[in-house]
Amino acid sequence: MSDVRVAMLVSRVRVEEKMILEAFARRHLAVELVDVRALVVDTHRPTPAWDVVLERCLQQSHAMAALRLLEDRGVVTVNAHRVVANCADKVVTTSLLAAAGVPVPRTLVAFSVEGALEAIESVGYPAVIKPPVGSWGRLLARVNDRDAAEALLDHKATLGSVAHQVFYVQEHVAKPGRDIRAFVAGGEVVCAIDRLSEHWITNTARGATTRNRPVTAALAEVTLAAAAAVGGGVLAVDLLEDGERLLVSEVNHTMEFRNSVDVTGVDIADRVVAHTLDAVRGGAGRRDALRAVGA
Amino acid sequence: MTATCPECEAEVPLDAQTVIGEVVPCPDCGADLEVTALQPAVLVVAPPEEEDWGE
Repeated sequence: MSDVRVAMLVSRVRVEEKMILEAFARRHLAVELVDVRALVVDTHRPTPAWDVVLERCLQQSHAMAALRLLEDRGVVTVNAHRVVANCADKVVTTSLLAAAGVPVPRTLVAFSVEGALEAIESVGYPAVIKPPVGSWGRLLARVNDRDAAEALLDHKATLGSVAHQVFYVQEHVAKPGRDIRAFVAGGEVVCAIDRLSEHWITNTARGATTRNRPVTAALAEVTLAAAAAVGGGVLAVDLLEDGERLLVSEVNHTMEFRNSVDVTGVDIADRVVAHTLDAVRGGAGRRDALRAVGA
Repeated sequence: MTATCPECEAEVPLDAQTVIGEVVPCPDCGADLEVTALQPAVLVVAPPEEEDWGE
């Protein structure tokens, strides 16, 4: 694999990207670090000679456009465009998960303030409202009563962009002060953590702490089913405990894992690298695709 | 290696493993600074978080 031309597409080099670069270096593999802000793709010319691009952009809109362009020009990408598209929008993710029979919290999607209010009343209080696109716990709302619901919906309708006019309404799951994040690479659950917080939002970006979570057969089964439903790849599946049931709340396609390595003892960055190399081994032939665009 | 904070002009220390694209905090003013060049190191104020940023 020493002749594999690898690029990592970034918009900011976080701790995770540095860990991945170090993991490539330990395997004596060179990686071209490509800032997506400097990338220009001419749709009538071949792309730079990369065999595989590992996408680690912060900005989902950039990631999705770049992945589409690269894939159409024969570059193997991790994750694939369709996987990112399936994970970037919670409406799409939950729709796919539910259609595949993966357990999810009861979720309703509405397209007007009146519809959203009806959806909230249907799931009951407290209800959770999430922006379809968003991360790190941003703009999540737990709505405790009708007054709060009306005020929140009025604010979203008046102040929000068009992206906030699709209302994602979910039942509130009374989780036990934690949720679970399970990491998937190459069709395997490589490790899992509990994210603990006294706040109902348990993102580590919001201060939650982490500890190792043993990967039981039940956890692995739900996690792998969720990963398969969105198309597989390198993913972090977030799960809520509802009594004995495990419900998938979201699937992350460009996962952060800096707080998960020490507590699990698993070199997650190396698992990302291993999956990236596996993907290029099994990927579509770049030369064939280049011929198709006249290169 | 050090570089100047464009916000407060403090000297910001950078370790040898610093790479372009990394974001470092200014120890004086706390601004998030993006490394845009090395040798010599150049820092700019990092772009603020946008709505579609995330995992």
